[in-house]
Amino acid sequence: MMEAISPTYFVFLSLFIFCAGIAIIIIKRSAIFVLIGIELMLNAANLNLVYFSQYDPGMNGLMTSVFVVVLAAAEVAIALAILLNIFKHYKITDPDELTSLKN
Amino acid sequence: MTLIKTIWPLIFILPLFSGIIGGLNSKQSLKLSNFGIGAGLLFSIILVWLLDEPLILEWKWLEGVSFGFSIDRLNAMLVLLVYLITLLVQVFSITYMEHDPDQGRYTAKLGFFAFSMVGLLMSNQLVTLFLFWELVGMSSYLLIGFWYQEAARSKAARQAFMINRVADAFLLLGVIQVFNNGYATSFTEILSSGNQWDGFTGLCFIIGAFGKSAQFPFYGWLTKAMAGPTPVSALIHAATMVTAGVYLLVRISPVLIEWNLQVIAIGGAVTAFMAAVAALTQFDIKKVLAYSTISQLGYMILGIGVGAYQASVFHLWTHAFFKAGLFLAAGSVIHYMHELDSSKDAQDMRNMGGLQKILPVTFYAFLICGLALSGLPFLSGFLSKEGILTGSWLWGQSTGNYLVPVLAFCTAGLTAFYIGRQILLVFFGSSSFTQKIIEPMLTIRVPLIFLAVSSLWFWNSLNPINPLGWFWNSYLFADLGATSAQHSILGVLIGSIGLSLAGLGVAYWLYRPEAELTQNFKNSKEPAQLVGKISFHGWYIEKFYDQIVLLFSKIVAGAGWFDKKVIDRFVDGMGVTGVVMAKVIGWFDQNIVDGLVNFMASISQLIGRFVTSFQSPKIQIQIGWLLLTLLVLLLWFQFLT
Repeated sequence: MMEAISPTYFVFLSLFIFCAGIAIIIIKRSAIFVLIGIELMLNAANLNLVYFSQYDPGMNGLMTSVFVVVLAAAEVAIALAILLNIFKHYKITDPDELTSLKN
Repeated sequence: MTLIKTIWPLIFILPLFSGIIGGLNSKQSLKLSNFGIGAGLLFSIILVWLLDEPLILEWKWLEGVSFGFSIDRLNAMLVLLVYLITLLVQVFSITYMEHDPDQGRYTAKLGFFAFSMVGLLMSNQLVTLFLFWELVGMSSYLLIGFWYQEAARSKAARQAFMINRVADAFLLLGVIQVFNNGYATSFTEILSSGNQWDGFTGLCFIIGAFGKSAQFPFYGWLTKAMAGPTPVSALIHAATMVTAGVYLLVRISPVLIEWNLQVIAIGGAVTAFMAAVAALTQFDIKKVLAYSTISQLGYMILGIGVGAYQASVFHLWTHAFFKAGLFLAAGSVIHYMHELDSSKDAQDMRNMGGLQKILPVTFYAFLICGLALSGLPFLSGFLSKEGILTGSWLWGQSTGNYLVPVLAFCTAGLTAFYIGRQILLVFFGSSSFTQKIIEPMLTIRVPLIFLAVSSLWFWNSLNPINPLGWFWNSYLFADLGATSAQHSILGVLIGSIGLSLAGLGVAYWLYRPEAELTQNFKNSKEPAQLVGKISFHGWYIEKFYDQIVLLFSKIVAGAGWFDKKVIDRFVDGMGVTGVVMAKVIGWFDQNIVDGLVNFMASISQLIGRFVTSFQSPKIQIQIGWLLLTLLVLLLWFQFLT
């Protein structure tokens, strides 16, 4: 049986990742980075879910994290497609400069 | 009674209609107009004949004010008198005014006057009386100013009217007083209630009556009124309108208090004497008669004051006939003088003399009427004047105030003198006229003869020296129930006759055809000595009016000065103060009030800017804020609740 790692580390790790995601979202201009930040935040939440599901015999947390991963993948696929199209159309990646959806 | 109810509106309205018809100014319409007055005369005779109980007609006009007429025996008789004289004057005027293109207007104005006068006499309510009182004054003004193209005549009309206005204002004040004090407002109720009026109300009515009846100090207007056509003077300014004041005083005398009656008695006596003195030296034939009228009206007023109002009404009646006769005869003289020589003043007695031969009918009419005025027995004037003199003597005996009877007796002598002088100067003496035009006109002769015959005694009383034997006495005053305890006094009788004879005698001595005064009369000037001057200028009453007018214009000028120098200054000062205040307030408004508002606005602007500064189009900054807010909320719930 593996020595149980203290939950504090997990919580701090996930907090760090979450804050990093937020920082990226706030600081970075490129929409790609914003997506990356979102992914980081989602995964920070996943980390919590996975860790704490060890105390849950039903493993609902694990299941939820699987859903979150699927959701993130789908989201990224759609968001990247949109961003690619926007870039093709407007030659920009900064969401602030995107002021209209119609040309 | 039903007949009376049918004819009284006709009597009331006929003069107005005949005036309107006469105003059309054609031969037929003028004749029709005379016919209308004649019909009215007939109706008023029927009225006098049939009238028994007083007839009262009243319509409510306003709350508490009625429009009312009443017909009793006194005013029925006076209406008859008005119609009679109006008819005679209209007939006389047909010839007198024949050369005037405005005869229609003249007839219309006469009709209007007769209507107003009848209305005045029939009025029962004081308000109605005042209304017709004013209409009478108005129509008098219109007739005085009939020849309005001449500036002097229209000015005289205005003056006469204005003097009347002053007195009328007092009458109005009196009527208002009656309403204010809650006295009865109609003559019939005044008589039946028997309440005495307070002295001030009575005085207002007395002043009003003095104005209309040309008593001191208002008598100046009557001489002005002589500017009108002479028949008008006969009708309005001798027989009818001027007696309105006498009529009013007769009506209200039962409710007047003692000192009011004394004012009436003394006012009448003083006026009678003053006017008789003024008549002594006049050159204008009409002015002598005007002053004589004032003097005789003074007698009537005096008679009311001393309680002999029956004698006053009697004198009013007889005076109307002989004075209208005198005026119409004077009119005939003037008409004749004008026809003969229009270059000279046709009214100036200095141009006359010896007219007896040329105008015999006029002469006899003037003689009879003049002797009636002077108060010789066997003539009507003697009877009525005798009544007044007796009344004044009795009053003097009971009150110890002999001023009134003494003035009355003096006036009797003076009256005989001035009328004797006038008869002698106009009709006797040498004549410079040789023509033989002797009043060919029937229209002039008939009224003159009628009036002269009416001035004889037997129309009034069978006994030529008994003033109480008037036929109308029992008819008029039976229902008043106040037959005064008068009786003839032999002394008064002898004194009166003696004074009349003495006056006539002195007049004959001074102005007989061969006397020195008569010889020089044609070239005489205004008298030079003081008494003569006072007499000639009618006691300088016009100067007195001028002074009053001057005084008022000075007051007005003073008020104007005060207005300009004080009130205007004050108003200007107020204006300047207002502007200064407005500027101060404006500054305060702009800087303090607006400043506060602006300050608040800029604060909110600042806040707004501050708040706006948080917001940004940048998505990331918004998200940052969002997270910060979330964090703050979390911390809040975690640690502070």
